[in-house]
Amino acid sequence: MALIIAIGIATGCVYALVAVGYSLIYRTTAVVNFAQGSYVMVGGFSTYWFFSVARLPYPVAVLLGVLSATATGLVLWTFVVLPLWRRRSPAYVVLLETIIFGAIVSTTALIVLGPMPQTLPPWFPGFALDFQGNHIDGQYIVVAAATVLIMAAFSAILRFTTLGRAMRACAASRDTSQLLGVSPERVGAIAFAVTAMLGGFGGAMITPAQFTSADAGLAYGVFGFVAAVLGGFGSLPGALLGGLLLGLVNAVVGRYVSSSYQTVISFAILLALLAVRPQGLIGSDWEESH
Amino acid sequence: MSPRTRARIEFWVLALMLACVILAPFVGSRLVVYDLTVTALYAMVVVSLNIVLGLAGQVSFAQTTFMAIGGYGSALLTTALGLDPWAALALSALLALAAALVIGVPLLRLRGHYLAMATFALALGTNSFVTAATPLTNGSIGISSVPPLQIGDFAFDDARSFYVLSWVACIGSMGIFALLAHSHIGRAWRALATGQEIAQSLGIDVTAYKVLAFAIGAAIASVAGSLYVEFTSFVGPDLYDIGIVLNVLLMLFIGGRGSHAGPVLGAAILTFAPQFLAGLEQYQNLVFFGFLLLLILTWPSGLFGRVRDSGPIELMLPIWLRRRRSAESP
Amino acid sequence: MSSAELTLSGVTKRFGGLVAVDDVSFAVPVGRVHGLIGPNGAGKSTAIGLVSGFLRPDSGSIEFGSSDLTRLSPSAIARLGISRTFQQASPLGGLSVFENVLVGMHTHYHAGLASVLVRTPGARREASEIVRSVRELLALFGLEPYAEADARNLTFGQLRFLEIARAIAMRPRILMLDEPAAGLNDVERGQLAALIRRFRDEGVGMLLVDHDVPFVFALCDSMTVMNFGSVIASGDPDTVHRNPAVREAYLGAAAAAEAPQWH
Repeated sequence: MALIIAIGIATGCVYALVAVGYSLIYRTTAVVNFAQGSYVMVGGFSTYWFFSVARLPYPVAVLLGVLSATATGLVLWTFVVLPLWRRRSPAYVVLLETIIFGAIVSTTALIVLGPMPQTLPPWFPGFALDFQGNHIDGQYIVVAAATVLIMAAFSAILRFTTLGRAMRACAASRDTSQLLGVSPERVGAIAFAVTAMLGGFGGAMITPAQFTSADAGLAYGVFGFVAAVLGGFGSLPGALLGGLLLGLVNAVVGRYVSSSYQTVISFAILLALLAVRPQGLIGSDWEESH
Repeated sequence: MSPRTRARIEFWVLALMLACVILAPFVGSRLVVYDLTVTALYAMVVVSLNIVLGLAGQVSFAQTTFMAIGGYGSALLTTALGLDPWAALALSALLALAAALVIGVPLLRLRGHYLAMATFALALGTNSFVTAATPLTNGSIGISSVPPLQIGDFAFDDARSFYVLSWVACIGSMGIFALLAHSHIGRAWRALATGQEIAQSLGIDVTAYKVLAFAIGAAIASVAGSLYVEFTSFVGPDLYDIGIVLNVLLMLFIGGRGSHAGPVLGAAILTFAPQFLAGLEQYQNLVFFGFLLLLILTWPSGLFGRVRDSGPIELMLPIWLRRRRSAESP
Repeated sequence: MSSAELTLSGVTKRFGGLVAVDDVSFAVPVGRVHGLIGPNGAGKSTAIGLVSGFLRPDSGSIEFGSSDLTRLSPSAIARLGISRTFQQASPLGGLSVFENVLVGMHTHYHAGLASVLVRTPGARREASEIVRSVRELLALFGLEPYAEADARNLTFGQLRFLEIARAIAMRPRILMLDEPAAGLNDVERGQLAALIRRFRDEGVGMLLVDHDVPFVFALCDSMTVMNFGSVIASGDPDTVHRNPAVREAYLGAAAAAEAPQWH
């Protein structure tokens, strides 16, 4: 049981990082970026490449892996979302394009890195917890701790820095904030870069505990989205809450039912939420038709 | 190009396509006939999406869900319960209709990308479900030996007869689309797509009309799904994966949302194009997706699209790169 | 009472801390023009939003005949025979001028889905009748030459007329006009006034909201003046014209002492 909880919390943290990505991008650019999950895959998989293929030192490989994810986010912004944004394309066209971009990223990963799932060495070799007869991999604890730190730092940045205020202004209104000297395009670029970095870091962290493969992005994207909606789309504390809850649900389902039902149940939760309580657990604002 | 000229071109393109469809069984190879059958059935699904998205402006990724209801419905009702294939087809369509009503009423309150996400989740969830629910659907192995459709002694179990059946069904669905599009129902849909509040102020019950579009789309997609399974005598989760979800949407975008010729054109292009890419092997998907990404980026209205909801393409360039145009409207 | 009346009683609407409409009451009888004037921000457009169902009042009642409008959806209210124009003339994009007005006649279609698909003679006859009515209406508004054009390509004045044509196509019993004269030149204004008189004579009740005070005074049978969300005067035009509170609201206290020419 303790193991399930550990797995649940750790994967839940990664979902939370993805969910924060969704919410932040949505709040600053009004875009729902369904390639969010790809960053997790890129983070993990490219770290693997830098470490196992290019034979770079592990910390360097992790750094480069996170940078690769960040670069992916910037490419998506610059060449896909920004042009559509400028053109005032309807939201669902942008969404469609992000889905296609995600497919391109995973296809590229498949070509470059092959179809085999890969893993990485733990960050602190030998670090493990023996709790009530359960052997809990220390990496899960690393993930949880790191996520909490990142979330705290992130909240602080948003609340206390100029950049954070600029991001919140853009979230409120793109055109008005432009009049006030905030550049929505620059804020958008930063939002994409930062969320990609978060996702990539999550991927680099969780891969030692689980495997990663070229098609992992879609699953994280989906679970991250469900987590975001569960907690309240657009809400950052909601993202963390939703992520943890969903992580635990998935861990339980994976253990007692079957892993193939994890996606089914997640989707069922999502649909139920959107039908009945779209604002999620914490969230407040949510557009609905009259 | 004036709308009248565009309509005239579209008419001749449709006439040309009809001529090709009639001639193909006589002059075309077996592969061409097969591909054209697949084209017809996918075109039917795209027509269903055209009603929901092209006319009523509701962003739905969920046509594959209704295809799956039709496909698995037909397969299960015939193999497990021994129903007549026609009855199974009709019953599955009714099931799809019911599902559309149950799902549609709460979901269609959502707007824009929320509806898109919900229906995307529905589509992926359907795929996951049919993969996971092995006792019912036989999981990834699928269900085979689905009995063919029959009229009296005549069975639709060979390439040519199914070709005719598929195209009759496809043209039938295009006929339904045309009748609806030119009626007050079609106008109500277009009105709510472009000005929901105005439509309401003119007495149009927007939610009811959205659900109507969704339900009709579901029924047509279900029939297409049933027919496809009857065609191959097989159903499996791969028929309804994310690739198909994207494919259907892209067929509509390429052909042009809201148009008559669009679904068939888009379906034909996306069915035949991969064969030109076959030589690229592992790069096939990459080139395909890359091309589509660029296409939607630069040409969202597609070939015959009536829906113009993006600004002019120049806006995509940074300011210093845009040409100075004299005062003409785009 | 044989003819129905649109009645607002004690209607209040708040947006956060702002009271947009404060205990407002007035009535629009069918076949009469009721003017609603007031400076910017007085709450006039909010009032139309409340009647048409896009906003819900915090208190008070809105009734038409025996129906309580505060419980109905906007489309249900429209189906009762109450239509409106929008302050921003909003054509239905992508539809032609003809189709815009045709959508206005949506409630006249009784053919259902089955009749449409099978093309029953009844459905076809109904459709051609309606098409003929639309042509007449377009001619009335001078929009016939532009029938096939995309509605978004019209001039400002033409868009205004299209907006009204579409709303009147519904054959409403009550038509609410939200700043119909704004931006029109003198000729167009005259045409608009003639149309309003014509519709009144045909039995349509109208709520005329506008900034052009002489325009409203010349056309209405009764009026209400609002300022900062409250009613400051109501009654027939002469009474309202002489009310010092009205002059003060528009012109300021200093000018209130003088007597401006309204006609």
